[in-house]
Amino acid sequence: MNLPLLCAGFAALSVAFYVLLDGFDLGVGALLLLQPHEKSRDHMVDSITPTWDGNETWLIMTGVTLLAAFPIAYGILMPALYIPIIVMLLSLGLRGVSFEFRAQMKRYRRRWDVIFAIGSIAAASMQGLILGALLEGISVEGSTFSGSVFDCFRSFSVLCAICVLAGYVVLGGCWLQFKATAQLHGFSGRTLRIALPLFILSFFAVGGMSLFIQPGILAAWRDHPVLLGTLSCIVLLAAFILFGSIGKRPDVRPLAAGLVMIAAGIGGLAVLVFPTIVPFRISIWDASSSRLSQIFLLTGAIVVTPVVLGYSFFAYWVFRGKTPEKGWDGYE
Amino acid sequence: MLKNLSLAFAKILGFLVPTLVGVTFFFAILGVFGLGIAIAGLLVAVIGAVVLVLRVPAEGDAR
Amino acid sequence: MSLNPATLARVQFAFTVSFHIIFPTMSIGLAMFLAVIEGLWLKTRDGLYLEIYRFWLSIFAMGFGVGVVTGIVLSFEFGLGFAKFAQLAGPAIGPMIALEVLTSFFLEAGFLGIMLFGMDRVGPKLHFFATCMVALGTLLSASWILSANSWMQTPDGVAVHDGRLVVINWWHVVNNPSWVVRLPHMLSAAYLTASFLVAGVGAWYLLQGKHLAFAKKNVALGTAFASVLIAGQVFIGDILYGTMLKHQPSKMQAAEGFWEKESASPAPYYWVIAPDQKEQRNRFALGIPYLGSIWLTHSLQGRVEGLKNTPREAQPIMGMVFYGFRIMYGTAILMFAVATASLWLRWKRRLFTTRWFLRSLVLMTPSGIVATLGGWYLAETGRQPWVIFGMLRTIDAVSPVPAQTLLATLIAFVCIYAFFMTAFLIFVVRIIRRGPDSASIHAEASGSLKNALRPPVLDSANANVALRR
Repeated sequence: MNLPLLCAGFAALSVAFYVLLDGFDLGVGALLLLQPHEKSRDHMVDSITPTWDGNETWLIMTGVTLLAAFPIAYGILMPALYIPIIVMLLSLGLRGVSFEFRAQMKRYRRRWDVIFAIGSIAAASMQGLILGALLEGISVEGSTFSGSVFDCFRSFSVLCAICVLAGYVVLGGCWLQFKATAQLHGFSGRTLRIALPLFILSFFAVGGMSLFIQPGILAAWRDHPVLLGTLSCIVLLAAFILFGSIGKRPDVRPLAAGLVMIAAGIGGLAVLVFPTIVPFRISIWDASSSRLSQIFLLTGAIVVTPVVLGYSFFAYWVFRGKTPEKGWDGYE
Repeated sequence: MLKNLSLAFAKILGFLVPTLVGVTFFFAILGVFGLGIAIAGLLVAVIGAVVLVLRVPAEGDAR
Repeated sequence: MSLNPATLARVQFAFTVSFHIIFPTMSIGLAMFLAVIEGLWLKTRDGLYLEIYRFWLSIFAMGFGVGVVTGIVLSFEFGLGFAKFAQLAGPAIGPMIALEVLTSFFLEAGFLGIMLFGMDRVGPKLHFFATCMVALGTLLSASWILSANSWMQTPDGVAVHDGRLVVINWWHVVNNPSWVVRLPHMLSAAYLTASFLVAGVGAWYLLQGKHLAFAKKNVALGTAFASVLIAGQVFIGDILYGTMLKHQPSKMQAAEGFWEKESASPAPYYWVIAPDQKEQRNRFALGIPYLGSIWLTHSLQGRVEGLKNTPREAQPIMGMVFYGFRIMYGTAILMFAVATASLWLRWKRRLFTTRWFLRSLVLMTPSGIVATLGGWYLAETGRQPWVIFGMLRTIDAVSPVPAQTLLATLIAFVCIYAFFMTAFLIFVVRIIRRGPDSASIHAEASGSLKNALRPPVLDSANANVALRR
């Protein structure tokens, strides 16, 4: 039983759950800025109200898994990504508070909507910056971060930020296709027709540019050409299906395709980075903490994760179907 | 005049008694008189408080 | 204050963690209070208890929310500000913090939603069970965090191999020398905090002449719990003093304000000092004669050990440790006095009519928070210059982040946290102004699945599905 591998698997799963579950509500939040009608904005927020904050569980789980199982990686990545992580944490906090206040103070709703939207965009962009910085390669000396806190603001990372933001907007649009009615359906369709090509373009731009920026990625392509090629094809295929199913029934198809598309992207990233945990710098085994620590962590994870997953599934199931136009009562 | 005196006396007593009792218990619990007395003082304080709170209505009529 | 990365990292962590601790302290206390109240309601069927439950439920929910948000920041901040500490201590405290996260998500996933929003939806026994589980969950979460912090104070169960920490005995890591005393001390602090919050709000209403039945019950309950808890808290505090004297002598030497290796006999108990760390003396000191010997050595002539017993490079900053301790201890004495007074007045049947006492209750409303903060400042500044006592110095643990960046993010934290606090206070004041009659049966704050169990919501969702068919 390779404990570091299991822990890395759990960390990867955490990240994947986070992106797939929180992605669409960050996307919906971002889209609030583009929606001029207040009633429609209310409808958009209503669609994510039931389930949005539980999704952040997975983000914290990722961070804490790193601390417990890969403390060396944790201690390198945190200072390296200092600025984007703090901006992201504060944005997520602001989202939370503005969400509460949006419900309480109806007069200022537009202002809270803007804060919520900006928080969502900021959080999404920071995640993209983090991804870009990780792929480009963190400067490491021994087990210490040796670069500058501003390294993550290079052009490649900015491109990644655009890609991730676009990806979340796509997921957000797909979610609205699935959950919303009437006017919003058209709105989400229109945004998808712009956001999806933007995402695909930036995705392949990032992919292409990464070959030049990070020799580790070039090496990964050489080692796993079929796997990576397949995953890239799945991304493209899912994108095509998504595009073709906009505005048509069944309206769960864009969301399903969108989730497959993003999941394939995450899978590709995992293949590129494996078996390092500080990408292309430090391996899973070099960054690991002691055996007993990893056993302790995994035991807790195995017991509690099914509960959290079950609970999340229950939440989505309770709120299955279209979001009612009049909202969830009390939010008018 | 005697009535005023006894009233003032009662007021002073009403301040002194709880203060002295409180201070004594405080010192005892801190272990100033030894661990045994500290534990005894703690038990009396807690049990006394529980009994008082459960048995004595806080105002003249209903609770 | 210098633009020194180590100082800025410490100030930032101190700020975020101080802000954070206010909220879980209230949550742990209020959760237990709500469990007791709901139990009383189920037992007596007295509607007043239900009214009390609804009132405090909203405040509990909002405080819990702010606690979660600010806690998330902390789990990353270990690495952001103190990367080397995270790398070294990760194997020991990482799993404990992971377990705290998992426990609180388990609780949030399962029971908080029912507690906050399920009053009409589930049977009364299940709802009570949910409330009890939430109270238990906050207690367990606190235990894990306390274990992690106690390990930093009195590390055990680990060995160092190749500059990395290896856990050799989990029981010794979790049940380290100070945990078993610090845990009941912190839990009592949380329960006392809730007691004074409840009593203070009740007293406020009584002074205003509003919501009399509710107010009297709150004052009665709050002072009752405070009276029962404060004696135990003082006792545990004294035991903890002895424990820390043994394991972290430098902390207790700094805490009393004495510099000389052996103080004068008899020793006074200082309340105000102006310490000069450079000169290793007090420029000014004000104290009560004899009381130092009495309280600290349990004799009339005993001498107290001063900070010069610790080599200079291992000394904490006396000013911070001393005042942290005095604030906590002084507040505890006030709590003891107020509790004693409440018992006396209760016996005299004058608990609700003695206006000076009610005013003092109102002033004591935040006393639990003040004492808890003081205690944590004692704990954390007293452990300095170590971050893991005897193992790693704080300045050696700082992340390689430039000072300007730390300063910028510190300012950002202060601004945004000020916003959170303002939002929270506005919310609480509104609830208090509106009074208990209009407290809803469900918590006011929103939040995802918690909404799922609101009956109008569930009915709406089900109607939706039916329509689509």
